[in-house]
Amino acid sequence: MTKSDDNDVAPARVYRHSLATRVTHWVNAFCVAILLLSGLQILNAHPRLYWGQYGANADTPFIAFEARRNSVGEMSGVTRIGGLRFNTTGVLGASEIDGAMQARGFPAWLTFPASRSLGAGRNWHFFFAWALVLNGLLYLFISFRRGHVRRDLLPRRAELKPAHLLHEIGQHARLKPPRGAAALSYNTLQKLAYLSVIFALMPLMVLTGLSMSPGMNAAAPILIDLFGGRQSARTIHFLCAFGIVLFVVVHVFEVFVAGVWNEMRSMITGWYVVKPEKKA
Amino acid sequence: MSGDGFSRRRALIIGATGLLVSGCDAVGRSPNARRLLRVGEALSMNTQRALLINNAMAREFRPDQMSPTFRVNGSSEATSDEYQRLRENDFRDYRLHITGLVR
Repeated sequence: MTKSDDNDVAPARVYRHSLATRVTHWVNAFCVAILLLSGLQILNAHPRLYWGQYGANADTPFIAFEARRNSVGEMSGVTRIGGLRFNTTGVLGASEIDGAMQARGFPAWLTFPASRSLGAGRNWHFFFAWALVLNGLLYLFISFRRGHVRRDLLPRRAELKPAHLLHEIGQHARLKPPRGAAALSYNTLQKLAYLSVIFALMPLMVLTGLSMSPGMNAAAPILIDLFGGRQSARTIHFLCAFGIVLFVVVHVFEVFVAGVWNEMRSMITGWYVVKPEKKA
Repeated sequence: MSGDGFSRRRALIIGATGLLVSGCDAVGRSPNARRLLRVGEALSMNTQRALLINNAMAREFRPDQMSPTFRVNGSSEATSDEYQRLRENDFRDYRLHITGLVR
């Protein structure tokens, strides 16, 4: 990633990402950020997740971010996952606002708006949900029409062979990004990650989100049957959001591994500099 | 890249995040943001009304799909002495006083 590395051989500049890919990528990134933070704001109104058709205060949660007080009145945050309990004081369950510990599912710095407001959180969430869906549909429309999905995203048969996948996992584990011509196409793990976000996590987010709307429950009862209850849908919504956060963490990490300036330039201007293959 | 540069970059990132967060809340309160959000509200409302054009009824659930404890919003029981006294014998002593222009 140092300067001298780039200057060894005159690098080739390649137009790597189409305008449509770049614009929808950044619109999507912005929407996901606002949706995550406003989603946590909404979750904070009742930071307990249930499984099945019903779930409210008296029912046993599947996941919960709760505040507890001990005998001397000190507040602590407890995260419950099934029968497991974790002390998450300061971040989950209870966190400080202006120096005072408060019962709060997720801390103020992870919610939008920062101060507690279910109404504002819902307004922002639904607006950016529309933006995400329309942007996503635009991306899918253009990508299918231009063959981007088939040509760049679907793995080749040979790429799915266990030996090839193991080789790629090894290369990833050793933080060796592909060089030369191989750097121009997505690698198999990358393709599988993108495909699972585009065709599994994102559609699941939208469908489980719609399942939480009473109006949609009346209009399309099949949604509730599909997820086994509104509470299950809410839990799946949260878990898929967690999956998307995991994806973003790995995605950004890999951008740094592959070279942050080159990757950022190619995602903003479209132009990517191909580093020559290195003989070790 | 020197360690100095890295910590400066990190300080910049932390500073930028702080600005972004406080900036976000300021944006959230601005009248323009509210106008924008109202577009989303209108879109949601009209889409739902279009989907519910056939007057679809609320989803019905079987008894076993209901929580054993019904969650009540607000108070689940009036606390006044009068109410408690009347409740003791199943409201048999309750009298509705009819007054005014009723014949």
